[in-house]
Amino acid sequence: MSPRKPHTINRRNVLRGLGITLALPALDSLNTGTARAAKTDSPKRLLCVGSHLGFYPGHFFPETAGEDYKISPTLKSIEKHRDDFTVFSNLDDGANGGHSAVHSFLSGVKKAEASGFGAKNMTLDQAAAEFVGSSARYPSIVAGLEGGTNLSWNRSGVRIPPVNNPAKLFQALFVEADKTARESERVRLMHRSSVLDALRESAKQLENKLNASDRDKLDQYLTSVRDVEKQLQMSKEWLDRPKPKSPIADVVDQERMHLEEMPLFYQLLTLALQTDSTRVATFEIPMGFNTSELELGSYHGLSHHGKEEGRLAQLGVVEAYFMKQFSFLLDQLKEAQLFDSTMVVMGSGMGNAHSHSNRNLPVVLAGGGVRHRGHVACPDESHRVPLSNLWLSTLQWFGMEIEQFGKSTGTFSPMELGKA
Amino acid sequence: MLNFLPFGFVDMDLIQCRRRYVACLGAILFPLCASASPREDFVAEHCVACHGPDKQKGDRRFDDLPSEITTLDEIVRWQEVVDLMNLEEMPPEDEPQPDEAERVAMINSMTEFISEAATRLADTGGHSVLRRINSWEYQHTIGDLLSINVSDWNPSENFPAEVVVDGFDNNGKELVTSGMLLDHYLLAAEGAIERATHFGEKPESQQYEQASPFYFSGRENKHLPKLFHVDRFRFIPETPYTDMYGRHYRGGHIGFEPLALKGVPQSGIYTVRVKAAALDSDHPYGKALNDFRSGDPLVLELAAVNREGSVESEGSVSEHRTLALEELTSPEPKWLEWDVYLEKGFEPEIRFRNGTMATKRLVRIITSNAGEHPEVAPFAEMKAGMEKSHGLLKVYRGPKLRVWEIQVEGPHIEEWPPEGHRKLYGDLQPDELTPGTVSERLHAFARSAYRRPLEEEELAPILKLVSDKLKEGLEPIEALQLGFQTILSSPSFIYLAEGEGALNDYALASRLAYFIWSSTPDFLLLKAANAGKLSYPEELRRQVDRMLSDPKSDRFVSNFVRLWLGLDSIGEMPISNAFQEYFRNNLETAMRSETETFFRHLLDENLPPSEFLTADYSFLNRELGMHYGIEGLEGNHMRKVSLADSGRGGLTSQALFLTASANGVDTSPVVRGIYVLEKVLGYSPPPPPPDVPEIESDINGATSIREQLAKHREAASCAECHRKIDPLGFALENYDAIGAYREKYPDRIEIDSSGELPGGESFNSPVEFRHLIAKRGDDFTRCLSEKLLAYALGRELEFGDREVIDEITSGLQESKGGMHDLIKAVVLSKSFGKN
Repeated sequence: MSPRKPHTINRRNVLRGLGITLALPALDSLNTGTARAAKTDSPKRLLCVGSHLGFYPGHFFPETAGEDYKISPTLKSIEKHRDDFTVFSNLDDGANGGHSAVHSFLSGVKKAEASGFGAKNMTLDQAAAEFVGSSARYPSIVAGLEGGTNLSWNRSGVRIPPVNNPAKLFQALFVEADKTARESERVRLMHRSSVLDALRESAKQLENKLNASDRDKLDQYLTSVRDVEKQLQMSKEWLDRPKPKSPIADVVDQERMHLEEMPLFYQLLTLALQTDSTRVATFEIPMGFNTSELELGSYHGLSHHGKEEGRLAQLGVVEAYFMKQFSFLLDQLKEAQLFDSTMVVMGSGMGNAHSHSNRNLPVVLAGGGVRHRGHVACPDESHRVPLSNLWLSTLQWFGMEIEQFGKSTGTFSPMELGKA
Repeated sequence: MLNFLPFGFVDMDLIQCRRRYVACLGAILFPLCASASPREDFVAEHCVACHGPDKQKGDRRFDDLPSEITTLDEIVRWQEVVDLMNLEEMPPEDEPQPDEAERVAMINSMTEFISEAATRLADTGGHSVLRRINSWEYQHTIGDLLSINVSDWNPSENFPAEVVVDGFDNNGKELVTSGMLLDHYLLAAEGAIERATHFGEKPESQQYEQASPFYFSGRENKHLPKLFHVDRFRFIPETPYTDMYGRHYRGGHIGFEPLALKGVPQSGIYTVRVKAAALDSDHPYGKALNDFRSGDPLVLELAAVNREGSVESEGSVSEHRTLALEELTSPEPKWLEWDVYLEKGFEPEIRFRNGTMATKRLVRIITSNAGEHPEVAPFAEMKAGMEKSHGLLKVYRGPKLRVWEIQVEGPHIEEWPPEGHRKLYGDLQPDELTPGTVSERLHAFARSAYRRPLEEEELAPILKLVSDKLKEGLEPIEALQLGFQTILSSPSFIYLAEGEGALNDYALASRLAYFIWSSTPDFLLLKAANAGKLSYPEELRRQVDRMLSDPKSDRFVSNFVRLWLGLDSIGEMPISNAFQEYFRNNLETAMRSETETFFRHLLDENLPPSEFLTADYSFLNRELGMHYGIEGLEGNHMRKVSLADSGRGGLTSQALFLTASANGVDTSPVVRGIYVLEKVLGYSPPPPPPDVPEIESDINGATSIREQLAKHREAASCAECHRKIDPLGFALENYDAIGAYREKYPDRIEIDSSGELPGGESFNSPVEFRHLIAKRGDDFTRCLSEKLLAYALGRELEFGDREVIDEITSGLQESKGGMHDLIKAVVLSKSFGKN
C-alpha cells in the first residue's frame, strides 16, 4: 500500500486527542443520568475489546454448552478465569456484508441503515459514555492499534477514531498541562463560547428561509452547536482539577511493535479505569495487526485459510496471542479490584472471516460481578436471540433505565445480568 | 410497456431489476388495478389462515397488509413476508406449498413492490437537501479561498469520515453534521486564518547547500536527529559522494543539514537540486537480494518531511509527502532539479525509494553468502560492529544510490502579501483597524466565503461578537480574526443553500464550481453570476470549457474516479504479503494514475464514453508495464502505450479496476461480477436474502469456486441474480487481486474463464469477453451519465431524472459526442439547473 503517513500529534491540546472523547451529550436527560450514576456506591464500568477478523469458529466455540462445558482450543488461554466469564454462541444482529458489516458489532445497526434509528448506529460504549457524562474526566476512551476496526460510533452516527499512540493516551491520563498553557486554554474556551453564540444566531437567521427538509439539516447544525457547548462546559470544569499521579513510569513516544503496544494499552486502560479518569473504554484490534512480528503470514491472508491446516495453525498462533493478552487484562482488572464493577466485553462483528459471514459472532462477557454461566448456547435456527438484547441487558446492568437498544427485542433472556 | 427504456443489458429480466425507474412506473400503474393484486391473492391463499383475523401466530397478522405502501413501517411488514419466503421458512412445511416458479415470481413481485415504495417514500422531488461541503470540498475551498497550499497542511485531515450513499460521499440528504465535526471546523478555521495572514516583510529568497558527507559524528551531530549520525550503516566516505544502500532510514535516507529540524522559514515554492547517480543496479547476489529486482532503475525520492514531535525509530519524521520520484539508470553524476512546494517547517529529504528493505538486513544477507563472493569473505568472520559493516558496505556490489550535493533555493514569491491575505485584510495594517474597518473587512470576506452577496443584517451576530470582544479589550486584530474564524464555521459557509426551484445565478455558480473544481467559484464565475449571465446556455458552455482547462479540474477527475470506482476500499484491506513487492514499487500510485490519465485523455480529446470499453491503448509507466508484461517502457511518467498485443484493453482490464474489485488477497467472481454490473452497466443487483450460507473457498481444492457457485445457482431464488453476476466475474478470473495476469490459482488449479452472458452470448477468455462488453457502449454511457449527474447534484437520482438521463444519452449518441460534451450536457440539463 501507499506509505503510511505517520500520525501527527495534535500540538494544541491533548484533551482534544482522537478517541478521547469529550464530544457528547445530545440527551438532555444526561444531567439526571449523572446524578444517578453518582449515587451508586461503586461506579459501574465498561470495557469492550473488538477485533476485526474475529476468531476461527471451529476453534472458538466450545462443543458442549452449560456451566461444565468443555473448553475450546481458543478459550484455553483464558481458562484460568473460567468461572468469571460467559461465552455465547449463535448471537448476532443479522447483518450481512462481511468486512463492511463488522462495525455494527456493538450497535447492532449498520451505518447504511443508521438513518432509520433514533440513535443512529450508536454503540454500546458510547451509550454508556453518554450516561456517565462528566462524572469522569473522559466520558470514554477509545483506543486501538493503528487502523482500528470502526468499533465505536456516537449518537450522530459518527465514528470515533481510536487513539493509537500509547504515549498520547498516557499524556491524556497523567500529564498536566503547565500553568500558562492552562491559562491560554481558558481564554480560548471563553472566546469559543462567544463564537458558538454567534453561530447559533447565524443558523437561526438562515432557518426562516428554508423548506422543511433543509430545516431538518440545519437542526443538525444547531444540535452540533449545543453539543460543542456542553463539551466546552465540561472542559472548563475539568481544566483546573489535577490529574492523578501515574503509578507507572512515563510512557514515551517511540515506535513500538504491535506485540508491545497491545499489553501496554491494556495496562493504560486498566489504569484509566482505576484512577477513575474514565468509566468506559474500548480497544480495537485491526485487520492490519502486524503478524510478521510473530513470524507469520499476513493476518488478513491467514483469515482466508481455506481450511488448510498449516494456515489454520498459524492463525491459531495469532488468536492464542490475543487471548493470552486478554487473560492478562482480566488479571490486571482483578488485581486492581475493578473486576467486579467492570463488565468486559470481548468479541467481533465478524463471525467467520474466511467466508465473510457476520453471523454467529464470537462474544465473551467477563466480570461485572454477575454470576457467569459457562457456555450459553442460544437457539440457532428460529427464535434467534438478537445480540442487541445482550447489549440492552449490559446497559441496564450499567444503570441505564432503557428498554430498547439497537435491534433488541427485549432484555437478554438466556442469562440474567441483573440491574444496577 | 417497457419499450421506452433504451437500455437493458442482456435481457429483459435485468430491466425489471432497474428498480429506480421501473419501480416508479409501477407506482403509477398499480393504483389503477381495481381488484386485489396477485400478491394479495397469494397472501390470502397461503398466509391468512394462520396470520389473519382469527389466528395471529407469532403475533403476525397479514390480512390487513396494505395494497399501497405509504409508510416505512409498512415496508418493514412486507419485507418480513419476503424474507421468510426467501428462506423457504414460510409457508411452513406441513402446509400446501406454492410451486417453485410461483414462489420466485411472487418474491420478485413483492421485492419490486417494496423497492418501488422505498424509492417513492425517499423521493424529494428532485431537491438536493441543504448540502454540506464534504471534507474533500472543504479542503479545496479553504485552499482556494485563502490561497494557501493544502497539500501538506490538509485542514480536513482529521474530520470524521463522510457517509457514502451509492458510492458517493456528497449526498446532501445523508451528510451528517456533528459536534465532533463542528469542533474540527473551529480548529481548522483557526489554522487557516493563521496560515493566510502575512503582515511581515516579503521574505527574501535564500540559498542553502550541502555537499557530501551528509552524516556527522562527535560534537557536530549533537543537535541533529539520528538520521544524520554516523553509525554501522552510515559512515563518512573518503569520496566526494555518499551512497545509499537500502530503503530504511538507516542507510537509505539523506537529510539536508542546513534546514535540519527547523525546515524552511516560509511556505512557498522552492527549487531543489540534487547531483546523483545510480550504481550497480545489476547485482551478483541473485535471489539473496530478493526485494530488489536486478536491473531495475534506482528510484530517487524527494520528500518533504516535518520532524516536529517525531520519534527516532521512524527516521525522525512525523509527516512526510513525496514531492518527486526520479528513475536513475546511469552511473554518471547528473543534476536533477525540481520546483516544489515546501510548507513552513518542512525540510527536504532524499531517499532510495526502491532500495532493498533495510541496510541491516542487507549486511546480514551478504555476510551469509560470503562463500560465493570472495570480496565479502574477509568480513564474514569479523565481530559485528562499525568495522565489519562499513567494510562490507564498501565492497558491496549491489544497487547504490549515489549523492554528491543538495541545493535548495527559495521561496520564489511573486505576489506579496499573498492574495489570501489581501482577501482578509485588504491593504490594512493591524494598527489601522478601527470598528469601521473591521466591519468592512468582515463583510468583504463573508461575501467571498459565502459565494454570494450578503443579505441585509446577515452578519449581525458575527459583528456583534467582534464588537463585544473589542469592548472586552481584545486586540482589534485578534477580534477580527475571531470573526473570520466564525465566518468559516458558519452555516452559510459550510452549506450550499441552493433554494427551491430554478437555481439563481450564484447557486448555479457554486454547483458548477463544486462539480468541476470541488471548490468555491472563482472571481470570474462570480462575476458572470453577478452579471446574470449564467442563465444563458452559451455562457454555461463557455464556463465549462474554461473550467475544464483549468488544472483545478484534475480534482474532478481524481475524485470522481475515486468515488465511481470505489477506490477507498483499496486502502481498507491490507494487501497480502504476496503482493507487497508490487506495492513497494509504487504500483498503486501508478494504477490510479493510469485510470485518471485515461479519463483525462478522453475528456481532453472529447472521445466518446464507449472508449472506456473499446480502447486498445492505455497510459503506463515502467512499473505498470512490467505488471502487464509489456517490456521496454522506461521511467516513472505515464505515457500512451498500445495494448494491441497484450490481451488487455479498456477499463475492465486496468489494474485499478481489477484491484478495487478484489479484496487485496484473493478474487471472488461474485464480488467482481457485481462490481462490473454496478460500475460499468449501471445495475445494482438486490442484496442476497437473509441467511444465505456464504460461499467458502476451499484451498485444498476439493471443490472449485466454479463448482460451488454452480451448486449455489441450483437454488431458484439465487439463480435469478447469479446467472447475471457470476459470468462477469469468471470472465476476469485470469486477473489476480492486483490485476496481474495468471493462468492458475495459487493452488495450481487451472483457471476457467469461460462463461455465458444471460443473453446467450458465450466467451472463452477475457479477450473474448471484452469484445462482448465493448458492444455495451450505450449501457455504459447511460451508467456513466447517471453517476455524473448524481455526483454533480449531490443527491440520489429520482424518477424525474429519468427523462434527463434519456435526453443526455440520446443527445450524445445522435451527435456522436464525447466526454467533454457529456459534462456539458450534464451541466445544461434540467436537473442541474433547478433544485
